[in-house]
Amino acid sequence: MGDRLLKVENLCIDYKVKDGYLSAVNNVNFEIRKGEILAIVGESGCGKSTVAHSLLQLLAGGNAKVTGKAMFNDQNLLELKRQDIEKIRGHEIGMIFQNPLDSLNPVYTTGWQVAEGIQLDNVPKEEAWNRVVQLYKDVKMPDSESRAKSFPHELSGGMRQRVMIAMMLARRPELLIADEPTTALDVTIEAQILRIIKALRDDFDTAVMMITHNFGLVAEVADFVVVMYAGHVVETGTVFDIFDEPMHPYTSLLMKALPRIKKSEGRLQTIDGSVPRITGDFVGCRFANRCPYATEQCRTQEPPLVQVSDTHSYSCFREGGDK
Amino acid sequence: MRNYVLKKIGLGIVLLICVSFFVFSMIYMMPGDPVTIMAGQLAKPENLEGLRHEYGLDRPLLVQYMDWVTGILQGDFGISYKYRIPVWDMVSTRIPISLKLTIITMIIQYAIAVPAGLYCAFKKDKVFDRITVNTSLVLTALPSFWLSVILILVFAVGLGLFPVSGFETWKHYVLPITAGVLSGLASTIRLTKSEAIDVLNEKYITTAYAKGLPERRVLTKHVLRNSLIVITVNLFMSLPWLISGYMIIEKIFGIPGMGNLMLSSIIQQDFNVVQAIILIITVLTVICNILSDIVLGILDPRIRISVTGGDK
Repeated sequence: MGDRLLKVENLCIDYKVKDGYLSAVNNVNFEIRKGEILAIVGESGCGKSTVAHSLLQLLAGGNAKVTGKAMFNDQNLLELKRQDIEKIRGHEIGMIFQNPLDSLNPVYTTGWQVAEGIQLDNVPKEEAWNRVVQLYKDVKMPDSESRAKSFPHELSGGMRQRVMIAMMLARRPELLIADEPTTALDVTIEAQILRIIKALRDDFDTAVMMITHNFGLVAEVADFVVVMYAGHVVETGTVFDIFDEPMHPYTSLLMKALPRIKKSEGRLQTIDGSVPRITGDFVGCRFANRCPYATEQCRTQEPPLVQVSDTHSYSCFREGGDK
Repeated sequence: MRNYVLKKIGLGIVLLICVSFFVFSMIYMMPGDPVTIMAGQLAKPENLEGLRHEYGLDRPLLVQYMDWVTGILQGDFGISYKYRIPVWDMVSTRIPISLKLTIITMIIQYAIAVPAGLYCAFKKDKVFDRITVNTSLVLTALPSFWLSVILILVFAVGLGLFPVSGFETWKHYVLPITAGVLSGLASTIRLTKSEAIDVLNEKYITTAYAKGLPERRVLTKHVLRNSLIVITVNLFMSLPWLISGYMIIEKIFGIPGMGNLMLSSIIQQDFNVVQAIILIITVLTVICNILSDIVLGILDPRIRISVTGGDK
């Protein structure tokens, strides 16, 4: 394992709403080391994307209150001035998004958009263009030269995601944040994109923070896993910790909700209900209303953090977790 | 791109033929008869018949239309029933005046409205946005003729800075253009603002920021560039509309533009002149339409392709 690259401590994000504050993310802690792939897993609305966007100060609307620390190379990302975070974006931390279909500007050629980032480092136009073509080759773009001259609507979803990856890798960032990079793509394209992301880590030692709701994808690429529920981290561990010994009821329920081909287990299991809306004065475990093991204690007290091993921890009252 | 432009021009010509026919027949559906007006109320019916024959008004509508169109293609818009001089001589001196008014108004209006709207969108609900939106709302609510009169009262009569009416020097144009700019300003600011807000919410703007672009570059190269698509179309579409919008203002300030001429010709039932002016405004509309389509094709690559099926 390499050196520590990013350490997030006590990250809290509250949205100002009419009736007070909506707690989107609460007390989130995790860290990423160089060359490591960290997966943040959870249902929609768990605050995964919010965490990712907050790291680059990309939360929209201006009604979010962000507290805590996100130390990246001795700088707190959350408190950087506009000019300083602009220097980090794309240069040290790249980010790709959920839907490659509308993440590219429709009026410029894709190559122009990739080159635009490269030119921030005062690279002459022609050299930037050559680099774009090379990057397209790196992300296995077929016909890279002419694709660079294509507009986004002339490319397929998979190709557009490749453009996004090329764009965000152009300046060799140390960390790539991938916010559900394959959700909008079909399974074969998903596999190709994941291969590219993995190759990136192997070839350039880039750390990747992968946000997903898909445990299958986690098993395939991740080294470390953070399971989030309703803005809380409920369990963290290595990919082996989580898959061999899921401790938190939410983690194991999520895993049971994975479709399997081999065993015929009848109907696919689901978790009833949906992620609750958490406002200021909420107490107890946030998963309590959907947890099959919930007791009175869960509804009145914050569950403790239980350390299973050096790498594995979860927060729940149940001893021995979901066994 | 060439096919796209040719297609648009072709469609424009078809449109022009249809509209010119409507303009021509519309006048003939209206009550009143040019000959009665020319001859005066005391004329005998049999004399009127002679006059009608002389001007060719007793022929079938289609024949008259063909005759009219052939004439126009040769630069002959007919004779004014009222003044008995060629219509073209009356109209041609007024076109430049009207165009000068509208184009200058347009440029000033957009030069103010686009940056203001963009800034309002970027700083939504901040002080500048609130002041601009509310002020422009009040200005829209004021009719342009009232605004013109107030401007004359304050700046011409009261302060004596500008002449009350006429069109000889640049000073004569200041007040009418101000009235024109003010009356259209609010809608343009609001269009720019809402368009820019839409673009600001697009995912590709987040991408642009995530790439590490400085804010200023995101705003000009991405937000402004993409908002311009709708704004440009609006600019071209409103140009002909502005000419008719200037009718009242021209009248108040005594500027002999097309609008002014059109108003008096309608009152005097000088049909040939009215027809000519409507036709000129129609031609301008069609030309602006084609221009806006071409500019749209240049600004938005998606449109180019949907029209020509992949031709670049």
